[in-house]
Amino acid sequence: MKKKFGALLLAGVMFCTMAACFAGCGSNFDVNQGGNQGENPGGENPGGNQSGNSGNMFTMPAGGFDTETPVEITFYHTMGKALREQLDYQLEEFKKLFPNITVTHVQAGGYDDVRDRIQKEIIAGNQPDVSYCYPDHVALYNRANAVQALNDFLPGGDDADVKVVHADGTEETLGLTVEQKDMFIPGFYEEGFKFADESKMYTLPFAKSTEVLFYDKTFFEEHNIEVPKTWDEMEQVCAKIREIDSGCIPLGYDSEANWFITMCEQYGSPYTTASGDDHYLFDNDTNRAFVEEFKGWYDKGYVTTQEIYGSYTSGLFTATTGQRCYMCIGSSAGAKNQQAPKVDNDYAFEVGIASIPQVHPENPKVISQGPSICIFKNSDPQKVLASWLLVKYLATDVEFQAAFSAESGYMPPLTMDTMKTNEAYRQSLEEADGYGNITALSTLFCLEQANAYYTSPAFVGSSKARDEVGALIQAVFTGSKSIDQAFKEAIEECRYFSA
Amino acid sequence: MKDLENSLSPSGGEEQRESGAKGFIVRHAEIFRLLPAAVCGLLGIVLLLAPLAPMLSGDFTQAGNNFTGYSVFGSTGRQAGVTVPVVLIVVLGVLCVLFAAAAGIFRKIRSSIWCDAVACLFTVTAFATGLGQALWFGSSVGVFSVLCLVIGLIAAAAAVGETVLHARLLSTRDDKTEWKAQYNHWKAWIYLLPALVILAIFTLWPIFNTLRMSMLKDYDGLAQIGGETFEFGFANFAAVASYSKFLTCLGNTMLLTVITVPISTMLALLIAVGLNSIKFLRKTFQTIFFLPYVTNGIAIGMVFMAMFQMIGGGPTTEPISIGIINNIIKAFGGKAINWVNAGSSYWANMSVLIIYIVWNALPFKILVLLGGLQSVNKQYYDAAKVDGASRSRIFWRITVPLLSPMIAYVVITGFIGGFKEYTSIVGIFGDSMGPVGDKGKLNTMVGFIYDNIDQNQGRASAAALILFAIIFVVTMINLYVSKKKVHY
Amino acid sequence: MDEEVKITETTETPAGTGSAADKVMKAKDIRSVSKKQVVTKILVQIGLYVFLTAVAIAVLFPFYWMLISSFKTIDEYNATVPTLWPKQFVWYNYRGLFVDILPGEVPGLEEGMEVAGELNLGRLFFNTCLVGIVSTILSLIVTVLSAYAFARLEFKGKNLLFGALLATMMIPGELFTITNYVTVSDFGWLNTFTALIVPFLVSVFYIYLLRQNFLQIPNELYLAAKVDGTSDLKYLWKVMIPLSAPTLISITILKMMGAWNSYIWPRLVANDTMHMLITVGLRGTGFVDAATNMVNYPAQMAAVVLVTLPLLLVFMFFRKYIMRGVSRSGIKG
Repeated sequence: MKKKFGALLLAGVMFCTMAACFAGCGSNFDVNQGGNQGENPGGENPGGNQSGNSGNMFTMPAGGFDTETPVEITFYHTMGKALREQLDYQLEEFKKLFPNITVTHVQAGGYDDVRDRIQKEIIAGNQPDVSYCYPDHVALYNRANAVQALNDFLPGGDDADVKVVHADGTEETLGLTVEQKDMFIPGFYEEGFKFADESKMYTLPFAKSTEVLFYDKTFFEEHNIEVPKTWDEMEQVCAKIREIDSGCIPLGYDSEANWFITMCEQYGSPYTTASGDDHYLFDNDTNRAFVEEFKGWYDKGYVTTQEIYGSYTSGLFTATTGQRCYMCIGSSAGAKNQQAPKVDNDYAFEVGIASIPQVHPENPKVISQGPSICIFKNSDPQKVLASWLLVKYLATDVEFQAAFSAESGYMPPLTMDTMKTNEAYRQSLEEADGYGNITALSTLFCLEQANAYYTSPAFVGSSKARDEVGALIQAVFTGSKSIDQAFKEAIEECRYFSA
Repeated sequence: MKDLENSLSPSGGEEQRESGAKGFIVRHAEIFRLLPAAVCGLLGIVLLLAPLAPMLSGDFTQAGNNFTGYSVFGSTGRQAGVTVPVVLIVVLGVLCVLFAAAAGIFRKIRSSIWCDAVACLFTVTAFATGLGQALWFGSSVGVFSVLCLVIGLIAAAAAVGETVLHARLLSTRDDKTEWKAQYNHWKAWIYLLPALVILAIFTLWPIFNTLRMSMLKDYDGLAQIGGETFEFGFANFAAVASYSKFLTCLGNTMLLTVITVPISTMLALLIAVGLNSIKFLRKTFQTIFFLPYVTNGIAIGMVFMAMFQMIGGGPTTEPISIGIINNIIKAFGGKAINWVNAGSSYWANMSVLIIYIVWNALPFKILVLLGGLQSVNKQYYDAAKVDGASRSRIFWRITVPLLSPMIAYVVITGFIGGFKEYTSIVGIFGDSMGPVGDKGKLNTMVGFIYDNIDQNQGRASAAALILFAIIFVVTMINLYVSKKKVHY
Repeated sequence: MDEEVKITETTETPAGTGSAADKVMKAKDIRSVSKKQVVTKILVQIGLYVFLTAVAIAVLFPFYWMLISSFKTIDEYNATVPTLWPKQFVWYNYRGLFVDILPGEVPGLEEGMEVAGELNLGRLFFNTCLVGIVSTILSLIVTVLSAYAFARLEFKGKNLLFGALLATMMIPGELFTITNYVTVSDFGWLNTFTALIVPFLVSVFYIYLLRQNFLQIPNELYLAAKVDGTSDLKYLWKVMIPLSAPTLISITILKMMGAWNSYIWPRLVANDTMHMLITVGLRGTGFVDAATNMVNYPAQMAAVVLVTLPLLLVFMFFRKYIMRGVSRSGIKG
C-alpha cells in the first residue's frame, strides 16, 4: 500500500520539519537582529532566590517555646544500625529534657536518596522537619525557599536570648550561646554561610571528614624518606620511591575532584562562586598549570586515582605483594580501610597519617566533607523551635559526638579542646596508633589541623562543577583530551546545565 | 476514473440525495478536503511576512531593515555561522505555497492521492517555515503567534489526517469483511473502562504535565514553589537541540537500538524454537534461560565489570587484572583488548553494551515466543512433515508466519524499549556514562533526560517529547510493516 | 524411521518393472538414504544441544557470580584480582539479614555497610506477597478485558485508541514519577497498599501482548459461538482464556516479578514498616559506607539472592503449566 506508506512518510516529515523549525527558534531573543523580543506571557523570571529573602527569617511566637503541647518532628538521616542505637539513646535523653517533643527518625538511604526523596516531598508538601544534608542539597531546596535560616538563633540573633524551660526545671538559652559557638571548629561553622546570600546561615555542621595522607611509616623509616610537606617534595619522594620499588605506583589519590578543588584553594585561584551569573571560574592559567604538572606525574607513573586504576586505592595501599602504593590520599573517615593487613598475627606495617601536601605550608588548606543538618520551614513555629532544639542538642552534645565519631570514623565538628572534655574520647585519642587504632589516629590528626578547613560555595550546579573538574583530570591524565579541550568542555557542560 | 471519483466521495454516488448543510458539504467534499491544507498555506504566508510587521506601526525603515537582513536559525546555526537572507526564506515559503496550489490544480485533472500528499507536504512546510520566521522575529504580539501555532497545528493535523484517511478509504474498502462492519459495540467501552480510568489518572495526566513542563522555560518544581514563574515557549526544545552532545546521545540511542533488537529477536527465536524441539533437558534449559530476568540488575552489572574490566593499567605499569574475557582471548593466543577502561575504543564499548543488553532482553523475548509457539496448531507441522518439507523450510514457511504476531510484538516493544535504554549503560559504566576519561561518551537520550531531571524538569520534558516523537515515527513504520507481514 | 522408509518406498518405480538387480539396488539406496536422514537428525539434535548449552552457560554465569559473591568476604570481593571460587566461604552475609551484625564483628565491615537485622523480614515478605498477588489478579482482569475489546470487538475509534495506548509506552517513566507522587500524596494514599497497587494496574505492554494472542485465535470460533447465542463474556471465559493460557501464565509470572522487583516507586510512597516492600527494605538500609562510598557488595548480593529465590521457585512451579501447552488448539473437523 504505497499510499499508506506515503501518508505515513508525510506525517514523519511534517513532524521533523516542525521539530526542526521549532528547535531553531525561540531561544534567539538575545541576538537582536530585528524586531522586539516578543512577549512573555509567562511573566518575568526573577532569577533565583537571592532577592528579598526575608521569608526565610523566623518569627518567634508569643510565649516562646511551648513546653506543654505535644509536637512531632521527623528527622531523615543515613545512619547505620550501630549509630541508630546511639541516636536512640540520645533521643531518650532529649526526651527527658523536653517530654512534649517526639522525634521520629528515618533512615532514608544514602545521601543521594535523602536528597531525591526530600526534593519530591517538597513538591508534594510533606518534607521532614530536620534532615542530613550537604550544602548543594540545601542550595537545591532553597530554590523552593524551603530551608529555615538560622540567624535568629545565633549569638546576637533576634531570638537567641529567649529562655526555654526543661522538664526538670533547669533553663537553657534557646539560641547558641557564645560559648557554644566557640565549641565549633570555625571552618565548619562558616560552611553554613557559604550560599548565595552570605549573610544567612542554613546549616549546622554535624559530622565531618577530610582528606589526609596515609603513608607506609615502616617503609619511610626504613629508607629514610621524609614525609613530603609541599607538592614539590611530593614529586621528589615519588621519584625516590620509584627507584626503590620500580613496579609500584608511589601515590594513590582517591578523588580527582577533591584534588582539583583543593589545589584551587591552595593556590588561591578561582574555582566557583555562588553569586552572580557566571558561577564557573575554574578555567584560568594557574589551574591549567597545575593540571599539566600533575599530568606529568601521571605519565611518569608516580600517581594514579581510584577511577583510573579501576579499584579502590586503599586496596593498593594495603597490598603487601605485587603492585602497591606507599602513599594514599583519601578520606579521613576511611582510615579503617587503610589499615595494614595482618600477616602472621602481626600488622604488616605501621600506617602514618600526615597532612596532604600544601602549596603554602604556613597557610594550609584541606577540604572538608561530611553531612550537616538543616531545618525546614514550617507554618507551625513550634515545630521549627523543636527542630532547632534537637539540632543544637545533637551538634553540641560532646558525649554523643564522641560516640558518633568513634563509631563512624567521621570527626566531630567540635574543637579538640571541647572533645577532650569527654573522658572516654580523650582516652581513645591517647591510644591512637598506626596499627589497630588507626581510626582514632585519623580523628586525632584531623582535630589537630582544625584551622586548615575550607568549604566551597554551594549553589545549584555546584555538584555539577565538582563532577566536571573530576572528569577533567581524568580526561587529561588518560590523554583522551588535551588540557585546553578538557577545560573548555568542562566549562561548557557546567554552563549548559546551570542555564 | 469514474469509479475512482465515485469511491472518493463518502457515500459513493449517493450524495445527490442528501440535503441541507450536510448535503452541501458532501457535494463540495473536494473543497472541504482541501480546506485544512489551504489554511496552512495561508497562515504560512502571513507568518512569513512577519518581518514586515513594523509597517503596521508605521516604522517603514525597520521593516525594510528586517526584510533585507539575515535570519539565523538556532544557536547551532549561529555556531556554524549559517545565516540566511530573510528574502530567501520568504521566497521559499511562497514557492512552497505555489507548488501546493499547483498540486491542487493538477488534482482536478488527474485525481491521485499523490497530489493530495504533495499539496499537504508543501503547505505544511510553508506553515512551519512561516511560524519559525514569525517566532524568530517576535512579531508584534506573542498571543498572535500562539494563536497561529494552534490553528496551524490543527490545520496541519487535519491536512495530514485527511490524506491518510483518503488513502485508507481507497485501499481498505474491500478489506473489511461484512461482519466487522455490522458489529459496532459500544459495550467495548465498558470493557475498557477500568483500564482507561487508571490510565487517565496515572499516565495521561502525567503526560499532560510533561507537555506543560516542556513549554515552560527551565521549569523546576522546586523553583515554582519558591515563587518563580517561567516563560512560555519552545526555549526548552531549543536548549535541548543545541546541547553540544545532543547528537552523540541521539546517535548512541539509535545505534544501540538498531543493532540489539534484531540480534536479540533472532537469538530468542532460535532458542525458543530450539527449546521446543528438544525433549531431553527441556525443563532445565527453560529455567536457565529465564534466570537473567530474575537476577538483579546490580548483580549483572557487577559481573560484566568483572568480566571485561582491566584493573591497574597506567603509563608505566601493566594491568594486574585483565578480566575473564581477556584471559580467554589470551588463552587462544590473542591480545588483551581494552573493553571498558580509559582509552577504549567506541566499538569496544558498544560491543560490551550490546552483549549486556541482548543478555538482558533474551528471557522476556524467549518467554513470549515460547508461549506463542505453544499456541501453534500441531496439525500444521504434521501436514508439513507428511509433505516432506525440510527443517529450514518448516521454520521459515510455517513457524515464523504463525508466530508472526508475537514476533511483531517482540520487535515493536523491543524498539520502544531500546530507545529508552539507560540502566544498562549505568550498570557498566556508572553515572559518568562513559569510560574513565571520556565522560558521557555513551550517553543516551534517556541519560540526558536524567541529567536534567533533578534541576530542570522543563528541559527533561522537552527531551522526552523529542524522544517520543522519534519513537513514534519508528513505531509507525514498524506497525505499517507488520500490517503487511503479520498473519493473524 | 519407518515413516521415511515408507515414503521412499512409494516413490519407487512402478511395481513389476525393473530387474531383480534393480530391486536390490533400490533397497540398498533406501537404507543409505534413511541412514543419511538419521545421521542428519542426530547431528541437528547435537547441534541444538551444543547451541543451547553455550547460551545457557553465558546466561548462567552472572547468576553464578552473584551466588559466589554472596559467600565471599568483603576483602576478597574488593581484591583487585577477582576469584572464580571463594577462597573462604562465609555465611555471615546471609546471617546478617536476620540477625544484627555490627561493624567490627566482621572484617571490612564499616559503619553504614551493615544490614539491619531487626528488619521484620516476615512482614516484608507478607507485604510483598500481598501486593504482588492482589495487583497480579486485578491486573489480569483489566488486561484480559481490555485485550478482548481491542482484539475482537469493533467500535469507533478503536485503532486510534490503541495507537494512543501504544504511544504512552514511548515516554520514559521517570517523568511520571514526580507527577504521580504528587497525585498520590494529594489523594492521601501515602503509606497505604492502594498506592502500591493501583497506579501500575494497567500495563499497555501486557494488553498489547494479549491482544496479539487473541488475534491469533480464529474468528470462526467467535462466529460459531455467536450463532449459538453465547454472550461475549461467556465466549471470553469459556474459549478465549483457555486458548491463550500459555500467554496468560507468562503475563502472570512477569507481573508478579515486576511487583516483586519494583523498587523506585515503593521506595517513594511506602516507607513505614507496615507497608514496606522487601526490595526497599533490603536495599534501602545499609550496604554503603557513606563516608567513603564503599559498598558492601557481598551482603547486597546475599540480599538479592534471598529476594530472588521465591520468584525462581514460583516460576519453576508454573513452568509445568506452560509446558502442558494447548492440546485443544485448532478447529475440530
